[in-house]
Amino acid sequence: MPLLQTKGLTRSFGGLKAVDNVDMEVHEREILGLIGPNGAGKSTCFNLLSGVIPPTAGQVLFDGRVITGMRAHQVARLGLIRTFQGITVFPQFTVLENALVGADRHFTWNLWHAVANSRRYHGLDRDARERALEALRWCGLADVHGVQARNLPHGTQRVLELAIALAAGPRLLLLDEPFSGLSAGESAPLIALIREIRDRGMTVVLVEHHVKLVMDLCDRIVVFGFGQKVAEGTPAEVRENPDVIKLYLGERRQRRAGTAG
Amino acid sequence: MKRVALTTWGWLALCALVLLLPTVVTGQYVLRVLGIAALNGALAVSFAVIVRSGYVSMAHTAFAAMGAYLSAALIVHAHWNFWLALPIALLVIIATAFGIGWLTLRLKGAYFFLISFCFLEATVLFFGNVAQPIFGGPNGIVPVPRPSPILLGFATLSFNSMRSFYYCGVAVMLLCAWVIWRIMSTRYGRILLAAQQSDTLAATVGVNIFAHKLMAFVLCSTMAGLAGAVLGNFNGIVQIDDYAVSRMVMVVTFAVVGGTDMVWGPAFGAVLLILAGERLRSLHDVQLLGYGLLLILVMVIWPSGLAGMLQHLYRKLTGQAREPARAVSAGH
Repeated sequence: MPLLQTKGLTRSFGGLKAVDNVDMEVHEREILGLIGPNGAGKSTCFNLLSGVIPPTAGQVLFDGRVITGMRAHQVARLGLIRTFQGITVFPQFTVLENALVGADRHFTWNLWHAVANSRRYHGLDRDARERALEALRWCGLADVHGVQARNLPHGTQRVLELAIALAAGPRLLLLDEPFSGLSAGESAPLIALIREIRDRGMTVVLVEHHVKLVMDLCDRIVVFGFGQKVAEGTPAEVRENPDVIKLYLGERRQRRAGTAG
Repeated sequence: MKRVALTTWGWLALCALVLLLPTVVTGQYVLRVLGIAALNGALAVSFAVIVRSGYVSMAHTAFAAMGAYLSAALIVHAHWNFWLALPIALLVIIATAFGIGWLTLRLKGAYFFLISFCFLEATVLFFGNVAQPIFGGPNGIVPVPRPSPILLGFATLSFNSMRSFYYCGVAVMLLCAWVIWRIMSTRYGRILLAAQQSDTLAATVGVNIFAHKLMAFVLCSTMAGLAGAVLGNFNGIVQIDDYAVSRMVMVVTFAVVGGTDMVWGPAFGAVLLILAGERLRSLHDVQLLGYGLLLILVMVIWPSGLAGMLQHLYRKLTGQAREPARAVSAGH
């Protein structure tokens, strides 16, 4: 049974179908890449999967369970965690405080314990701190845990983004353009980290524009075009697929002609 | 979340000072002003928490009005005991705050501000005009007797003196400040601050932001109700002008001038400005203008308020090389 599945997933904005009747599957412990030209619907798809916006039609199943229409925090609590395109961290928090927010997924509602500063609260707090530090250590950020996030360099903030997601202990990670704005030097450790995430039993789906990077990193690829799934398969299969070639070549021809891609 | 720099001994000394003050200062007028300052401090401190979760709630003094009017009406017309009327009034406030919060906390920034302002105006109109036999119309409910004495086994606590008012006011402020401090220094505070910085990010890692904001809003509005009830019942009169826009602006000023970064900041601002305000009482009509100008001045020159300023100085003196205190501006 696939870990994540969509059936006829559709999202319209007025008359425009941003995501059009998409059926796709994500298998456990794989690294899946979503590629496609700009405006193809990849980020919208992510928003649908993570509950940020509801679909107009279709279903999303996570681990066999229907999660269509669930709100973002409910989806996250099930173990489906996503990152965002721009840098999204908590700028005024320190690195550790950022990770602690991620670790909150495992907390249960216990306001009275918190106010009364009870032993139970302290125990849970300690667990959360351990989890957060573990995620930071894994991402190599343990040394800078006291630094305010906004004072970190760009590349480090991107890693922090991932650390926050990891602190939440995800089963499935949706990474939205994790390599954008990174140099080759900065990308290499991130590639290694993603592979390690998979090796530890988590599943990763990523949206990326660096096609070569996606080809190297991903086990399978799904190609989006104009809101629809154009092709899927291994990198080798996708590379040869005539529809995919037409999609990208067509875009390039349009760009040369000066019209919007 | 940033703990104040004073040591625990410093705080204990301050508490001792506050508790023992009436033995030294016996002037009725001074004790009354200090009691009022303490209750305004409670209003400001609870207001600041709502601000830190990302909303500027102009409805804050509306809840204070509810606390005052509901408890006073039950005491004067139904002849209830204050100690029974107060919890009932607070329950009504909890329910109302829950309903209002549920509907309006979904709105962002300016929209929430406007709706909360409308709620304040609606409340002012309600208590000033509706059910005049109960709420007394523009004149309010008068006279309101002091809370009934509490009989303990060995002594009777009576509330007729100005000293008792001072102690009640201080007790309310310390209670509110303590609860808020406990909350803000735990993960709840962290979640509220996270929500202020990035709603979406917090939601996508599994935090039910809305529930936390609603809880903060209900808790703080109830604190406002408590402060309002004590204020009204010790003042002898409950009149809506005491809780209308001018009071709301003052609360905002206390919070901003005092500084919303620290829990005690707004209380500090309240005490300072009320004591200063008493000195300048002759300038009655200009007082509100003065508050407005002060508000603008602080926001432009030093947005983190007095608490931020003191924290900054402390850091400089102790040579800590950390980043300067973050300036939390009220509203978006």
